[in-house]
Amino acid sequence: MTEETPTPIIPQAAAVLIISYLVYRFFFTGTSTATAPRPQRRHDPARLRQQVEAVTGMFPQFSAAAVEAELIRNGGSIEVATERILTTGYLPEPPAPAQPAAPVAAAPAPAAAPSASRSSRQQEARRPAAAGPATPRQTGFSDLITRYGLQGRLEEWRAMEAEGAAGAEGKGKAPATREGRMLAHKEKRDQMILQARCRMERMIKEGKA
Amino acid sequence: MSSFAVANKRLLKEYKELLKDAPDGISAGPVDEDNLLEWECLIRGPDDTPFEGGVFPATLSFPKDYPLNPPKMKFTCDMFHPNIYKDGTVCISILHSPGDDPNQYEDASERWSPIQSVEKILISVMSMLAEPNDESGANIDASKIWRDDRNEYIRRVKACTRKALGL
Repeated sequence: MTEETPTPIIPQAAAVLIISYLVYRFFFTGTSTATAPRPQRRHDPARLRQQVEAVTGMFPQFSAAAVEAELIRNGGSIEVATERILTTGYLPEPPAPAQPAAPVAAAPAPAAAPSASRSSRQQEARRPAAAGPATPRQTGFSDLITRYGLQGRLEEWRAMEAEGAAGAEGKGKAPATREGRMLAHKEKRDQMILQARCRMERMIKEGKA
Repeated sequence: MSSFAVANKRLLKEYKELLKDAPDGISAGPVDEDNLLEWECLIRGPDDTPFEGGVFPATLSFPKDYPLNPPKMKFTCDMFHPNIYKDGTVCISILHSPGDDPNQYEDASERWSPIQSVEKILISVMSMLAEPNDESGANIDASKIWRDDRNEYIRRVKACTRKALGL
């Protein structure tokens, strides 16, 4: 008995030493890895958002997500992000978090809502001809002349085409106000329809359609 | 919030550029600037096709994270085309997210990426009208008739073309 007891003590002592060393290692490295990334990860969301806005303001061609990923990667440095964009001309998109299904919800529903405010804006903008565009879209399709209330302008347009005076308005300008843009957009749309309608009438007459 | 702001900013920019200098045969813009995520657009039918002379209306519905993800496009007139569903929804590779390709037949470069734009979508759809893609049938009837009975296909398309213009 007295001879047997010392023999297990040596391996036990070795085991205790090794284990305590490992435990020490574990805590030591554990704390060192825990402290190291913390300053990087401590992105103030508000500050990050400001930085993203600053960068996308300079480079609107890149998505906010890509810019945000780059800022998180480089530790929140606008300079590094800008440098990277300027030297490579490119920012990789972050691996898309599963969100492809989300946009579907936004699709058809709002179409009905804006039509009401749209017609009111048109009246503000004193558009006599296209005052009744709020025709139903979901229930069967009305033709474009009816949909945009162009019956009145059609005669006028035919006469203008006969004189050779009808044509698309000049390009190269984007109106500065939203009313101006809305008018320009609607005018272009209406002209395209009127032009096509008159062309199609001629095509039918010539037996081409 | 910030991705929504980016979407609005980008859409307004594209809208202004389209007003300034849109390609021939295309018109597009928001139905109301209060909601930049809902657009209406017109595409002129390409010449030397049964769509010739027509003008076809469609809506574009953008996701809140545009341009990360593509919009949905839906014609709001009767359409008869192999790659357009009967409800008007357009099935074309440029409108598919890079990660969203169940059939694996589309090249990643053809699919949506933030460097695409409304203008590129509409141009792609215009050429799709001229040349249907036989591989991705959305309207099975139209695919079949397009393949087997071209004259009937032309007749049906021309009927849609006239109808959209009220003729």
